[in-house]
Amino acid sequence: MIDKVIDDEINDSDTENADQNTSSTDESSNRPANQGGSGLDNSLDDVPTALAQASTEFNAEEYRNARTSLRKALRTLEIKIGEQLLVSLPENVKGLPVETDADKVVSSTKTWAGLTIHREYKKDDSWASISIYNGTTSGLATTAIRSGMYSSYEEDENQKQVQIKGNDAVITYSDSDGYAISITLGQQTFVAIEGVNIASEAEMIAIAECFDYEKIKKTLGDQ
Amino acid sequence: MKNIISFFLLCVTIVFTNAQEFDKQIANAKSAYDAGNYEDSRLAVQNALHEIDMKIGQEVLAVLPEKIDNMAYVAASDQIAGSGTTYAGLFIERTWDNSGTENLEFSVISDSPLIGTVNTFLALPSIMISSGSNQKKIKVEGFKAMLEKKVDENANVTGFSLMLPYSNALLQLNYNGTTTEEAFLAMVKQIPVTKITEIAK
Repeated sequence: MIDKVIDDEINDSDTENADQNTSSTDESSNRPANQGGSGLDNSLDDVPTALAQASTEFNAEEYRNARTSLRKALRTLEIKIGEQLLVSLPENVKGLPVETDADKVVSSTKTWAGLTIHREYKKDDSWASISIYNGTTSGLATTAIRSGMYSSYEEDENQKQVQIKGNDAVITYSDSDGYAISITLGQQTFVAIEGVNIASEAEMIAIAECFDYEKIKKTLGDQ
Repeated sequence: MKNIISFFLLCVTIVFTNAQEFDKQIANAKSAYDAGNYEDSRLAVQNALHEIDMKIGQEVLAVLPEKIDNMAYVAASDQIAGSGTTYAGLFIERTWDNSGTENLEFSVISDSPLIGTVNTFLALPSIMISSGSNQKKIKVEGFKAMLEKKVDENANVTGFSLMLPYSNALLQLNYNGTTTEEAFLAMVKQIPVTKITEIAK
């Protein structure tokens, strides 16, 4: 066992942190309630400007700064790609209209899950969603489905392999979560479609077949 | 002398090749963007990021010692992987070995999913860490780090590991062999941690 002699300096800083936490949650604080503010500036960086900046920084051997500039350019590009993809998705799947407020695009610079595009559909209690992941981790999921890693060694009556418009997929069902279909696309794209209060497997597959997977692949530059 | 000149020329060639490739990718990204082809532009930016990661990796490897105690670094094991080739972004690795009896592995991984776990441990008050645990918090050049002793089923020491998160990266040292905690920490002291965190931030 390692000696339990913990660095005094760490103990000191832990105590300080604990003190700070106490004061920040103190109900007797005179801190006023926030009355508003303009929020955060989430505008997209200009790609040509970020590229030019990165080039200057690289030549000046400021590699960290060049990396930051390139990640700004990458974020803008990925948001634009995601927005293009959202526009191309159907506005209605088997009677469920789109919930545009739930549309979401997350750049790979913000999450290790890769570029993520998400859309939801809802009518009454029935709900469906599509999440598209593009990046290297999506490639791992793609490999897992194609190699049969999703198949358990025992027969699982709530999981089976299917094909959605010619693409390898796995459909699962659980009473608590409903249906889920995982589809592999091209080399590095993975699509997850979920359905809650969908009547049957056939209906869930019909929802999944509403999407144009060739177009999704093409927009993401996947093969 | 001849060897030094050859090495210098090789370094100049690598730097020049990197710069050429970087400029090419930036030009590709710009022209694809102007043509409205965002996906091709994205690929070129990812390739340019990869070139930067290669440069950063080379700089980190350059500040690492060639020997640590009786272990010499294994040149063939030096690895740099950049954005686009790993799920975790930049990855740098070096190994020191002593004829197979002991070895020390160094790595830096940016955007590692493990960072959250280590930070959670480091944020725990010391009193919450079990007295029977083989893990503890230490400081290395002012950075908090998680030190872990590895033991086999007979409680014999088989090695030590150190995980030090900084910025969005995780620096790891993994020693395999029989040694004491003090000796392992003496090895850790030979790694220029602050300098590495400045290069690979």
